[in-house]
This record gives sequence, C-alpha cells and structure tokens, in this order.
Amino acid sequence: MLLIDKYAYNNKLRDYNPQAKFFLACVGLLVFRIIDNEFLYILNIVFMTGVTVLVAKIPFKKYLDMFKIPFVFLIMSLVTILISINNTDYIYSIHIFGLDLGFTYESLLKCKTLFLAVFSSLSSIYFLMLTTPMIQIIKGLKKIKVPGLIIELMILIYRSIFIFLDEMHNMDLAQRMKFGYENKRNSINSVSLLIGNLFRKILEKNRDMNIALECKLYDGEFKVGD
Amino acid sequence: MLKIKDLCFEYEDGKVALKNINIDGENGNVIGIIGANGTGKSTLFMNIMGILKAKSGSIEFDGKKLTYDKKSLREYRKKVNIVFQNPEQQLFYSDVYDDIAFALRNLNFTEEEIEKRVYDSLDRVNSLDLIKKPIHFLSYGQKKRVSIAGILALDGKILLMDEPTSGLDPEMTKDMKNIINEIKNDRQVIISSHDMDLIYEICDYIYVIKDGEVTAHGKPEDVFIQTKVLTEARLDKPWLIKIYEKFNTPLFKSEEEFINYNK
Ligand SMILES: Nc1ncnc2c1ncn2[C@@H]1O[C@H](COP(=O)(O)OP(=O)(O)OP(=O)(O)O)[C@@H](O)[C@H]1O
Ligand SMILES: [Mg+2]
Repeated sequence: MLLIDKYAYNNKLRDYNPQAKFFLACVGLLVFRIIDNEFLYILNIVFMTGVTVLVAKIPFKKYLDMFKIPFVFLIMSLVTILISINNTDYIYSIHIFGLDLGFTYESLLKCKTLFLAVFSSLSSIYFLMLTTPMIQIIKGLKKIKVPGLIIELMILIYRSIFIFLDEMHNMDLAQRMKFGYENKRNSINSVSLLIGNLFRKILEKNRDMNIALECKLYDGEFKVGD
Repeated sequence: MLKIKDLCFEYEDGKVALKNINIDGENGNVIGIIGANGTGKSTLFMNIMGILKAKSGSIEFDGKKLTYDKKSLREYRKKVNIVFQNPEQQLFYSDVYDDIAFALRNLNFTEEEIEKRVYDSLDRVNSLDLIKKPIHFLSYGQKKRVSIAGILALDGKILLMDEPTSGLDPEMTKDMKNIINEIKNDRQVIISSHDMDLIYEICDYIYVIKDGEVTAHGKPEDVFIQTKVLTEARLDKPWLIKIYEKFNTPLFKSEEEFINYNK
C-alpha cells in the first residue's frame, strides 16, 4: 500500500472538484514556471503547503518527509550549478591543484531561483497527488486530450506498482516466517529466490490480468468515463 | 442455453485436465459443478469462457458452436460472464465505482446509464456503502462482492461463479447464498464449489467431477445419497443429507425447513 495513495483516498479534499485541483496544480506547474518570478514561487509554496496540510489534513511530518528524497537530488544538482572553475568575480573561492573553485553572485542567485522553482513545482505536484486519487488524475489528463497511449501506460504502470509491491511484500513475509533472513548466507539465498519468483509471479499476474480484461470486454482502449 | 459436448482439454505440459465432459444447461437454472481440489473445475470454466481452447468436443450457446475469433468471442462474452475464484483477478481499477463501470464503458454505455447500473448492481450485493472506496482497502469478502457486482452490471444470460464462498465467514456465506438466490431470477447460474451445504441448498442440478471426468450427475437429492460416488470423488455429504440418513426424518431442502420442522 503506497502512502501517497492512502492519502489520496483519505483526505478532506478528495471529493472536491478534481478539475479545479488539476487547474490549481497546473497554475503552479506551468504558469508560474513560465513567468519565473521568485515571489510567485514563494506564494505558491506557502499556498500549496497550506492547502495540503491545513485543508486536506495531510499530516505535516509525513508531508515534509516526502520532500527528503527529491531534495537530495536537488541539492546535488544545485552544487554542480553553483560551483564554477577559474572564474574571476568570485564572492568566495578556494585554490586547489592550481584551479580556482568558487561561486559567483550570479550563480548564487540562479541557484536560489532554481531551488524555489523546484520547491514550488514539487509542492504543486504533491498537492495534486495527495488530494486526488490516481483515477481522477487520469480522467483529468484525458480531458485535456493527452494521447491514449500515455493514459494506457499510466493505468498499467499504476496497476503494476501495486501488483509488484503486493507480491514482494507477501513473499518477503513468507520468507521471514520461514527464517529466511537469519544469517548472511541464507539472506543472500532468500533475496535471489525472491527476485526470481517475483519475476515469475509478475508474468503470471500479467497473464491473469489479460484474461480478466478480455472477460470484461476490453477492446484495446481504456475508457475512464468523465 | 449452454451445452457442452464431449469436451476434452489438455494443458501444454501434457496434463489431461478434462475428459469427455458433457453438460446440458437445460437441466436446471442453478447448476453446481462439484469436485475436490485440482479436479478441473476452474479449467472447465476457462474452457467455457473461451479463454482456454478445447482440444476436442464443443461448447454450444443458443445452438451456436463457440468459435474463437475475436469478434464472436466478444459477442459471446456479453452473454456469458464469469466471476473468478480469486477476486483480485477480477478487479482492475482502483476505485469500486470505476471498476464496476469498466465493462460498461467498454460497451459504450452512456454515463447516466452506467451510474444507474453501478448503483443497482452494488445494491444487489448489499454493498452500496463501498461505492467510493479504493479497491485495495477492501477485505477479501468485500472484494468478492464487488467483483460479482461488476458482472451483474452487465445483462448476461449465464453467470459462471468459481467458488463464490471460498474464504468467506459464515455470515458472508449466508449472504452470498441470498445473493445467488436473487441473481438466479434473471440469469442462469453455474457454480463450482466444494461447499456441499451451499451446493445442496441452492442448486437444481449437479455434476460431480473427479480427475477431469463427470462421474455422476442429477438432482442434488439424488446425487448426494450416492455414498460411493462421493467418497471416490473425495467429497463430503451435506449435513442435511446426513441428518436425513441418520434420523429417518423427511429430506429437508434448506436450513429453514429443518429448523421449522417439528416432530
Ligand atoms: N497452467 C497449467 N498447466 C498445467 N497444469 C495445470 C495448469 N493449471 C492447472 N493445472 C492442473 O490441472 C488440474 C485442474 O486444475 P484446476 O485449477 O482446474 O482445478 P480446480 O478443480 O479448480 O481446483 P480448486 O478446487 O483447487 O480450485 C490440476 O491438476 C492442476 O494441477
Ligand atoms: Mg479452481
């Protein structure tokens, strides 16, 4: 069970008009991004966080936790942008191996804007993901005429994530109950078994899914209604 | 009307799963297929649905032999539906409403019609309260109901149910019995099960399968007194039959009849 999914179905904004939510997120993601103004970014962050935490009632701590992983990547890329080699107008620099490493005022500014832009986009995306069940997002995408192939991929990937996690969880549990992770040697053995079995199980589930789709008169296009 | 003639089926690995199966849909409105684990009940259902292709013999629906091209299979599956043994397999979408709507949308019903049918069919399985729930929050028994509702929303003629009560608690099992008794009013039901009490109470006609072969068939009250056939098929007798045989009371067809009986 994905945490995001759980919140998407259990928040106070779930039944709120999905198009409005979609629109709100798009403003942050597209319009503000095009205007590219720091003040708007900050406004968006405050607004989105406020709505997600205070109105939709997503626990604040869980919400913050979700930023951890993207922020690691963000900071790594910001560092590479920030630091330059052998520039002249550094505001801070060090000299090693005959090279000048440092950052300039411009690169610092650029990083600040970029940081805010990413933060703001993330808060918009999280707002949408945490308040809107996947199926509604897909409906929204279909409304704005996103190609059927992409929609289909999204539905299948979403479905597969659950199959995958579920199977993995079940097998892991079964192995634990049979003392599969007692020491290093049988842990390695268990993991390799798990991966092999997971692969087989997923193919099996895929076959079952196709059978079910056929019996439900699926004819090559996912219809999600409006 | 469904008619199965001399059906044989073999899995790719050479396992002969069905041998000369003959089933006539005219024999009853609720038909039971009973057999121990691994005797071929699910395989038979997969054959009836045209998912597995028979090696020899034929499956006829309304006098027409089943052909396996895409178009006629689709037409056929509008009339003949299946509720799988494992409800997980049946459920596709993440939300109960959308999941039930799935097949209807594939048939291009209008959204109003879909809404009406989704509510109706959920109501028929007494699960209207689940309508907004995500599928992965449901319990096993709830999933079973929802998967049945998904099929009831279609107006099929024949409904195959593979072990509708396996994994259900006594209360849910009773509920399922009522649901089936209600469904049979507008379509024919074919049930596979090893719950002999259920089969005895709700079926008009039963087929006993052992190792892929039909070893006996007839009305429940006639089949369930054939001790030898049942033991050979590794099946038990329904408790109502046991009482009848032990105490020489009249043969009760249902639990209510038994409870209301005064000597
Ligand atoms: N894909 C397969 N390949 C080969 N043999 C199979 C396959 N699926 C099932 N079988 C075999 O076919 C036989 C019938 O299986 P089936 O699943 O139809 O039994 P069942 O009557 O539905 O049993 P249960 O009551 O346990 O559901 C079993 O002996 C099984 O091992
Ligand atoms: Mg089975």
